Amino acid sequence: MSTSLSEILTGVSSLREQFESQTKDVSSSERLEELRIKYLGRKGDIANFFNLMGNLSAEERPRLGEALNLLKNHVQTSLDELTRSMAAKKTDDGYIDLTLPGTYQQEVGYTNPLLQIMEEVKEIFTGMGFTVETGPEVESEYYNFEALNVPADHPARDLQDTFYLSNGLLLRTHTSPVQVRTMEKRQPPIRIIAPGRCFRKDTPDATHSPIFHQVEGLVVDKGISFAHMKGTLLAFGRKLLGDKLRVRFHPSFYPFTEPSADYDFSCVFCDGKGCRICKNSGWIEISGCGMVDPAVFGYVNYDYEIYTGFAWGMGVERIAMMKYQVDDIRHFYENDMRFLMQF
Amino acid sequence: MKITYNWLKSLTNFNFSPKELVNRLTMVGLEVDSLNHQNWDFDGVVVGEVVSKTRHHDSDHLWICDVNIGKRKLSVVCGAPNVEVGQKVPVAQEGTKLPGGLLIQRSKIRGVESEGMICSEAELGISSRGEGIMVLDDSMKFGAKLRDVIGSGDIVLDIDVTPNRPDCFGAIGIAREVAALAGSKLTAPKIRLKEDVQSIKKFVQIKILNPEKCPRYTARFIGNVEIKPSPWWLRQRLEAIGIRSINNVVDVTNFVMMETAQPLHAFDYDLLKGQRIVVKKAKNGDEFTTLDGKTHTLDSNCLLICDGKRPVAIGGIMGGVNSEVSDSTKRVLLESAYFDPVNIRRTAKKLGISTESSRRFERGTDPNGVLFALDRAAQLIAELSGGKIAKGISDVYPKRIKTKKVKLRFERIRLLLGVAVPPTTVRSILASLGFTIVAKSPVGFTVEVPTFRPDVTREADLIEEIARVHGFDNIPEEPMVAINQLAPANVHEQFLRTLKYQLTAGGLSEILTYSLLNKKQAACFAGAERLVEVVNPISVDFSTLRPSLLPGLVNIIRWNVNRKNRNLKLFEIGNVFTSDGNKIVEIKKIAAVLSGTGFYSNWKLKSPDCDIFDVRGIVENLLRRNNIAEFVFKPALSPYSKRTTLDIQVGGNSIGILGELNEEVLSGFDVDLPVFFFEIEYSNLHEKINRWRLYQPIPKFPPVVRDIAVLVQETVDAELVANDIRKNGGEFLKNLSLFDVFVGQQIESGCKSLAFNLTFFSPQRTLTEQEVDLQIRRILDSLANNFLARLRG
Repeated sequence: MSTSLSEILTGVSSLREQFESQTKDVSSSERLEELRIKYLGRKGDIANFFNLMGNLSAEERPRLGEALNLLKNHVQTSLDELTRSMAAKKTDDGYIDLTLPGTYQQEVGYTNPLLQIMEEVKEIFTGMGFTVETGPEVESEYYNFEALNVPADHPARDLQDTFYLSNGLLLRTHTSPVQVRTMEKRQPPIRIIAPGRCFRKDTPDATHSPIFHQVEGLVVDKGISFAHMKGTLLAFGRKLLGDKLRVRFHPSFYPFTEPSADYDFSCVFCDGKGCRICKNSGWIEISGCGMVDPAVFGYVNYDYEIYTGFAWGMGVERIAMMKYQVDDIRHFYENDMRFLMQF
Repeated sequence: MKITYNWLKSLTNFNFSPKELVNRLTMVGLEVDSLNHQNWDFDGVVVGEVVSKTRHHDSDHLWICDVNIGKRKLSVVCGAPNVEVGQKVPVAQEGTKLPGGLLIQRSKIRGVESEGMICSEAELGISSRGEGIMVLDDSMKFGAKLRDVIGSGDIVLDIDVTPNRPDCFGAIGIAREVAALAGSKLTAPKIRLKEDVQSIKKFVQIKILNPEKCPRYTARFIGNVEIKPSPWWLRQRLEAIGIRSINNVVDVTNFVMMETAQPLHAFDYDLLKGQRIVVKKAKNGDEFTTLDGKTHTLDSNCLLICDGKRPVAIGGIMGGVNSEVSDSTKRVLLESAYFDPVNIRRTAKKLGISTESSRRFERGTDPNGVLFALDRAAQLIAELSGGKIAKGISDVYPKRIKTKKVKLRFERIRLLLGVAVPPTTVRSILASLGFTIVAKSPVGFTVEVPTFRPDVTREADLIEEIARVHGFDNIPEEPMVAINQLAPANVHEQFLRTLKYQLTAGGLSEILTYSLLNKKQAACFAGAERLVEVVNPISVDFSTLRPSLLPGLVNIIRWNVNRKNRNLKLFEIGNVFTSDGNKIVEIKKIAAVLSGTGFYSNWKLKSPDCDIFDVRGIVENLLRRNNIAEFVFKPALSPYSKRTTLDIQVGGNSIGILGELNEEVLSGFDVDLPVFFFEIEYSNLHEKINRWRLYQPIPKFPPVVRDIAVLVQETVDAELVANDIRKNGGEFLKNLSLFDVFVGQQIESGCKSLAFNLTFFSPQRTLTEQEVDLQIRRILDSLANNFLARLRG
């Protein structure tokens, strides 16, 4: 079939006239629905005209398109208006303004994003067979340092500036004491995470907070290797940030692990290609990990010849800042409602 | 620890680009913090020789210098105080653009034409030294381009050396790692020193009185020394890594320390008394003035290096002003020693001094590397100062520190790493790091650990070495078996999560606030004697552990109110701390604060501002939702709450309080709107939870529902009325709720109307209207008797 543009346009304008006369005296909602299907349906009259587009030249197409879109919009608004007035007429209570916002008996409560990340991390690890363990925030030097193979006068104590209380107590600098407390109570197999508050003598600024949150983990069993640690942290990272994530391990030093490593996640914003957020390295430093040091097993009387294990740390603020692109750590503690309502 | 690319190149052969080197070092455990290309640009600057200098006729500080730059002589006006005839100097010719942007032009300075400029290091962009012109080595040829004689700069790497690797606080240690990565050999500098005929014994006798603190002390004597500036190569090495060049002797001690990780000290021998060095503990209260001019009070843990009469250095930490090398020094006593790391650390910490030297000794230097550093430095000092080295070394080493031998099993490597590393690879990795295999068997090696690696003492430490160099990337990622422990579930975690959901679903936002507070704020919520203070706080605002969650929450109210948001419903779950006199009590609490309008506020229904019944409602819901039915609220008193305070009691025990904070407390927080709160002790709530819920049959017969409204005096409490109704409602009164309280015009003044909804039913049968009427009558009679209550018509 070959039809000229002017013939088609004539057809379009007679369709419009037909629509006007058919909508003059619509009285039932059933009739309204019939008209909607006739004109706007997938196989309706307007759609049929659109199908003729293929027969036209490239210059002619926009003209038909414009005419049809005008008609389609007109039909749509006319039918909407008819529906609205018909619905309003139907009620006995007079006119109801259906554009009013919905009401609910109370506002919603929000959750600080740090706590959301904590919950997410806990959920991932409990799904992997870990249990959640907690311990006190006021700790002894023994659990915070000594039993983790950080004797007094060890330079490693400089790595963590500690808040001290009287009586030789301190505010824990990491949640690692929970590892020791758990191993004292229980025999392997051990598979725990220890989420919680930690304290270090840092003056608050955009990237430091004297109070922060960690989730540490510990696995002890027969035959546990560095390869298991890599597999576990990779699985965790992917569950948290997506299946494309890669994890990089490089050697580091912690007194409570040997070998010790730091682990980085591939930058989720550039897939590791390098961007402003990862300072063009493609990697974002997450935290430390390693195979449990034999000296730590010594403190809890585990036999290093029988059992091995791994442990890792993770800063919740760091992950939340990376995931949500928060540029100032203080936002988490200010709890400005305009901040909380974004999450 | 800073090191340069070319410095490493001089110690071992490798083909890594700077960027690749950074990556390789990071992946072997030497994380590179920064990489800085010096990129000097001296186009148009040549070496010149100052052939004459005369005073400028119109100035008392300018000189007119003739400078020979090879093809011709330039006449240059120069204001530097250190310009001298015979010096080789960098000269910027006409048309040169210096790194700072200065364009050199032929110009007249106070009437005298200057054909160029003699430059300082700052002007050339080499260092920040701008107080005088740069003086080049005499050996540099005039006329040469400056770039050809000093290069275009080096590439500086700043490496974050972990505390377990004292060996990597020296260039040789880092080069050893690079060699292991590159599969090349470490080429440590060779010692070639000429000794004089006179023996060191003629000059000094050494005695160690405290060998536990100083296991080894060695020295060499160098006479005939001329103190002068260091040659360019030495200055360049030091200044690239941020150490300021002083003079040839001091620079050599610093250079050799940065090269070998062994700190050295040079004494001006002529300032030492009595031809003796005695190493001994200080006495409590001794005073000593170090090189930096500071005077320290010592205790008996400090180790002193003394001459025949007095202390001349704090061992391993810093030398004294009294024996410092100066421009007039002629003879030098050079010290190289090994100090006990723990004692150095204690002393440095106590005195508040941290030096390049103390940082190395406290991590553990190599007791058997002491002589190499001593000889290397003696040789360089002799070469650079024309000095003569006396014959022999004074070496006091009463108890030799031996190398350790550690057994390494191949199976253990596979077990710990999860991957088998072939014995040949193990062997070559260990050899490249300086370890020696002293015995081998089918199951493993016996490895001798060099004394420069004090961190390696056990099999696990050796396995780390293998893993590092083999590459963590070559260890596979392996899944673990999913369930292998029968550890009990953490019931608190589960319950806390439920509570959080219940409270947020109820319109409260969960926040977290600082555990440390200003003491004044904390004191509003607990007596001063119960507060727990930090001994070493960062500021007054973070000095005291929170005794309650409320101060933190009120601070957040202030923050938001100041930002024009006064409608706040916040809660926090966290630990609070008080002292009971002997010990610190740490308990978990749940607290909430409400301010502004109530929970529902929309076009249909305006909520009045929050009041105490809103907090009470939240608490009641929380209790009911967790199946706690038996609770009462008793009026109570609290130091921080108004008189409208209620004690929340479950089964006769208090689990917390709710109320409205009083103005005195709020004004201390700069909050001037009403704040309602509750605070509950978590464990008290948790132990009341009834986790086993038993099914109750749903009634088969329809209930009879009646509403009654009674008039009572305003001072009669609704709860008393409700209890009276319950008491007299008979066995079939199953439910009672107050649905209206009314005071107003239709009611006589001083009275209020209380309207109750009563539900009666029996599980056995349908109740008759008459029975219920009878019961209602009984109720009303009792109310009339007890409260003078009347049925409202």
